[in-house]
Amino acid sequence: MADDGVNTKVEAVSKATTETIELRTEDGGVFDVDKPVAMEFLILKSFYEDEGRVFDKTSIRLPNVKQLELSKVIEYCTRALEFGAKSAAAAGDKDAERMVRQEREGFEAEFVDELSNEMLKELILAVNFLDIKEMLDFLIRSVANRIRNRSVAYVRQFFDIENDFTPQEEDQIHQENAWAFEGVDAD
Amino acid sequence: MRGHDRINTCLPDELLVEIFRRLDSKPSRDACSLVCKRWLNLERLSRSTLRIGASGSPDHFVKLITRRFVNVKTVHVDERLSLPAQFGRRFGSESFRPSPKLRYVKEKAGSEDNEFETSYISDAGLTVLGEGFSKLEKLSLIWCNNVSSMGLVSVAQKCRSLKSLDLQGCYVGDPGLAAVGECCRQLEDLNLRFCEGLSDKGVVELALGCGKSLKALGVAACAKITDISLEAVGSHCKSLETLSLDSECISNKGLLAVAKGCPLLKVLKLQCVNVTDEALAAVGTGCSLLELLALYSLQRFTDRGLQAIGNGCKKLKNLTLSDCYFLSDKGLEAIATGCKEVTHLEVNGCHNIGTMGLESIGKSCQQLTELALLFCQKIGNNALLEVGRGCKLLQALHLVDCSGIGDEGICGIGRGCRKLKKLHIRRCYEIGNKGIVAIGEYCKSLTDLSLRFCDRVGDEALVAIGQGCSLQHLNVSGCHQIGDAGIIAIARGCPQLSSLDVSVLQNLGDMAMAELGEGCPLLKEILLSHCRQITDVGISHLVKNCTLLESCHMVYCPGITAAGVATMVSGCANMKKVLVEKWKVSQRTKRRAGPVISYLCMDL
Repeated sequence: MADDGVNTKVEAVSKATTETIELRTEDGGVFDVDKPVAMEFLILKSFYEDEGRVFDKTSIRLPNVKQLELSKVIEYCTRALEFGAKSAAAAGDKDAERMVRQEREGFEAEFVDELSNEMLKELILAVNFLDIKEMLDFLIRSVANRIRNRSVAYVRQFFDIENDFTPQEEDQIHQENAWAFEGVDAD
Repeated sequence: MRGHDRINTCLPDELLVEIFRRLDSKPSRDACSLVCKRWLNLERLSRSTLRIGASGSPDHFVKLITRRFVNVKTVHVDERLSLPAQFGRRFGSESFRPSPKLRYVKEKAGSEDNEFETSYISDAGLTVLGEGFSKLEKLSLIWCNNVSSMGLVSVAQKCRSLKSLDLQGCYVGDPGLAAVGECCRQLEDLNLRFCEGLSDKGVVELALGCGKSLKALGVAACAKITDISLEAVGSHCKSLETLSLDSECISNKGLLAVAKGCPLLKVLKLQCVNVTDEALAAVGTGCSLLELLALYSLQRFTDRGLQAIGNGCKKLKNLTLSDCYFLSDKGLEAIATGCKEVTHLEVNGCHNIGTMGLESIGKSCQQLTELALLFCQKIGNNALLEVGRGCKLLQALHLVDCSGIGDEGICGIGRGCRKLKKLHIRRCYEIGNKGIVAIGEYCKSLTDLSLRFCDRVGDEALVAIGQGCSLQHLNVSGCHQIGDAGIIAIARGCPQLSSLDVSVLQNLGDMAMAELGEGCPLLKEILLSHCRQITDVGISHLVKNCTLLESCHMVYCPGITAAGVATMVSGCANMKKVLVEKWKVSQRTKRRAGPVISYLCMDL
């Protein structure tokens, strides 16, 4: 009742008890994250390796990340590790491999569908800060999908970018674009 | 609080470039280039391919683009393509769209509104290109009339990482080629088709310089390139994998040198009048890795040559025999028994190859996936029956002008080749309903069917196809017996249909159009030329639901008027091409559709 933040316990990746790391977000959230998942955050990995000591239960503050984003990141990374394990187990069996792939694609599609444009952008910033390669790649792909074949105005609005071209400059860019055409098949 | 451009300020350049990389369409990348200055710079830096057509002033534009697109690795300059954009005019920023590929069918010379001056890229332009794109890896200069050795020399000197060079149709001289040999030591791919200015001197210097890295070489119609060049290739290009030769000046001597000197050869295409069996025998002994062999016209090869290939090239996968008059069944049998891994076979106009040769293919080549028989009058039904029995993996069958093949053969294919995806038949007058019905019954994977000018095929065949196959492409032009019933069956049975050609069908009317409008919403392309019974009513029904239409041919359709053309144009937002008589296009339609309409200008 008096607490500022919300204490959130996250499910362990495997059934056995795993070590957890405590992460605190900028808006007061506290997360107990399983070590394997936390080690995906390269920003943490280097922190522990730098310190030269074995993992222990100190709490780490993440000043650039909020609760909502961190919970999404943990959700994705947990599932990603699970899929990784399933893939490894299915290695060699083509049908099983295909099933894992499809399951993963289904999860990713649903995951990204539920994200608003705002959330997607916030997640990219958070994941970029936390340095999680795989998830960043996934988010980049998702952003590309959302702005593909859209007008310039839409893209600017999506990223909240102001147009800093003069009309003459815009014209010149149009000329360059028109003239250097790609994707036209030769006879 | 909404992020005020937080993402643009917080995202590092590499991530933005990653996003651009995944936007693989030009409109998307163009949009990104207009967002803001930072994005423009990053976008230009990350473009790796440019295509340039004949345009207003190519040299000037080369200067412009080399300033910005510094990481370009691939440049195609194809001066057969003329760019319709008007330079110096203003574009509205939101409504501007780069024009799609245009074709103008002009029977009468008349000046259209879009006349502009074309000039071609010059040596000076090439020099700027070379200076600007120092990381260039692939360069194509297709029919660039103004380019000479000088330009090629400067490109060669500046672009030392060049891996692939296409000089098709350019009149460059030997010094240019010598410079390429000297400077571009990583060159793998070279196309010299129609480079009439080149002679042995240039090729020899090229081989001396970058022969080690060369993997692919193409030469056609170069009267001054002779056996001497090939001997140099044989001596210095040990890594050569692909060779394509079209020349009257090459004889056995040259080919023997290549066969002996290039053991890694995988692809060999020959159109050389003076080459005989002796050369093929050498290829059989020397090139055991050969996978693709294509022999074209006026060859003096006989079965002996094919036997040598059958004995030596056990890895052969792809064989094309075109207009090889002296080849007979014996030669094909030798290939069949010797090359069991053959997947693609084309026999075109080889009048002495008949049923027996194809039977042996059917018996021995179980990996066959694609078979093409063109102008083979001597091949009969038994050939296809045997293929049906032995080639269970067949996916594509092409038959043109094979008067010996009838329903029995097609039934054999249907029963045996259940994986068939593509069936193209043209002018085989013995094939009728029975054969096609069998296809509809057994070949459930069929997506591409073309029956052109087979006048014994009627509605019954299409009913069976509609029931059994989910077609994406159908062409029944010239099959006079087909009428509304057949096309309606297709409309009801093939909802995935994306392209349809019913040209020259006199019995086809508006009822079929209406059904197509209802049953095939994914239709992108339709060809109705010469359909006398189709009227504006049919067009309006068609367009109602087929909103994805991109292309429509409707010349010589007396029932379609200007109103029908207007309906077509206004009803389909994606329309890219309409082929119709000029006088049927009203001013209003012309204004709306503009660049989309191609005219057939004939005084009817």
